[in-house]
Amino acid sequence: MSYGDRVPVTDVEIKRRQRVRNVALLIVLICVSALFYAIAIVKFKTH
Amino acid sequence: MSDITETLPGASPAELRDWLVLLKPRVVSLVVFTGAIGLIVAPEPMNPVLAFAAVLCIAVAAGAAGAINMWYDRDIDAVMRRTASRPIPDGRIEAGAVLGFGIVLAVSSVLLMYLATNVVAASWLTISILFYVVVYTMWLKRRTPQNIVIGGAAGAFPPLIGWAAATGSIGVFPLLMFAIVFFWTPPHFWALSLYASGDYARAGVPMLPVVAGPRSTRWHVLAYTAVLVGTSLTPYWLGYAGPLYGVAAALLGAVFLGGATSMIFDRQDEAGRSLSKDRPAKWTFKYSLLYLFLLFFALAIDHVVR
Repeated sequence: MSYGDRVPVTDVEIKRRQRVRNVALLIVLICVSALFYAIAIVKFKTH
Repeated sequence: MSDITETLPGASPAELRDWLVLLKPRVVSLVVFTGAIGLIVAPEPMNPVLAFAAVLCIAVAAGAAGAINMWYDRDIDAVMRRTASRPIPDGRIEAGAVLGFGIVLAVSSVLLMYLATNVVAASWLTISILFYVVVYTMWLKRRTPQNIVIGGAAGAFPPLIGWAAATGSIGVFPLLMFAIVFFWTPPHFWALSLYASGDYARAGVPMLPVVAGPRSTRWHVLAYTAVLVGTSLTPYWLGYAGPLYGVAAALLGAVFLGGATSMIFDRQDEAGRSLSKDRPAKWTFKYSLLYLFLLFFALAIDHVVR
């Protein structure tokens, strides 16, 4: 199926997808920060 | 692009799952599994937080390599039925965004691996990414029917990386685990490519069935399976694994050899094409996945009970 064959995506739908993506990015960022913190604690304890 | 999407500058019709698809989750799951086993069977116990970080880095690096692979192969992906609906050829994500996504993830995973573990693991992680992207994807895949043999090494690095993350070094045992995955890859992919060769031929990818024909491919699968079974028994022969693993490797290998042999005896026409819709090849492909999972699982169990 070519790109032109697809049903057009509405502005509302695009905004919803962007919101989902932003929330997902925020969650990833928080998790990575927590992981960095945990790594720092463990490394600090073992050295 | 439709008028509607153009009303939002920089807007992309991609959904979150499209970004996840770029990471090739099924490949990542296998890589994570073998990487985690490499870490578990290492002689030095690892802090759980650091172990989690190491496995996460292996997963992210594999996903990043997969994304860059999809960026580079977007032209042939569009031609192949199996890959035509991927986010880039289907127009859901721009190619440049995928390349950026892949590079950011690759660099992040290497840096995090270095911070969480050591320079040896981070170096091997870098090598594995570059091997998959440069050696396999950019160099070998479109040039030689041996692409899977040499390029398959990229997928064999994770147990080595897991071991290096725990110990900071590389020994004989992790090299044997590397060899097992290395020799597993050709029969696994060639069994698949036997019944997907039309796709590869359309895209001009010189997979073995396209270049050498199905009959030769079946013999190649059998030969590499025999080498794989021999290699899989080496950890037991050399004393790195116990009898539990030895028995598991022998039984699992015997079944794999049975599957590869059944491919040889598959009903064929004069050109070697299957008359049974490649039923033995399909069975062997599916079994190869189970084989690797159970073999490495046996390795871990054997290590725990010894």
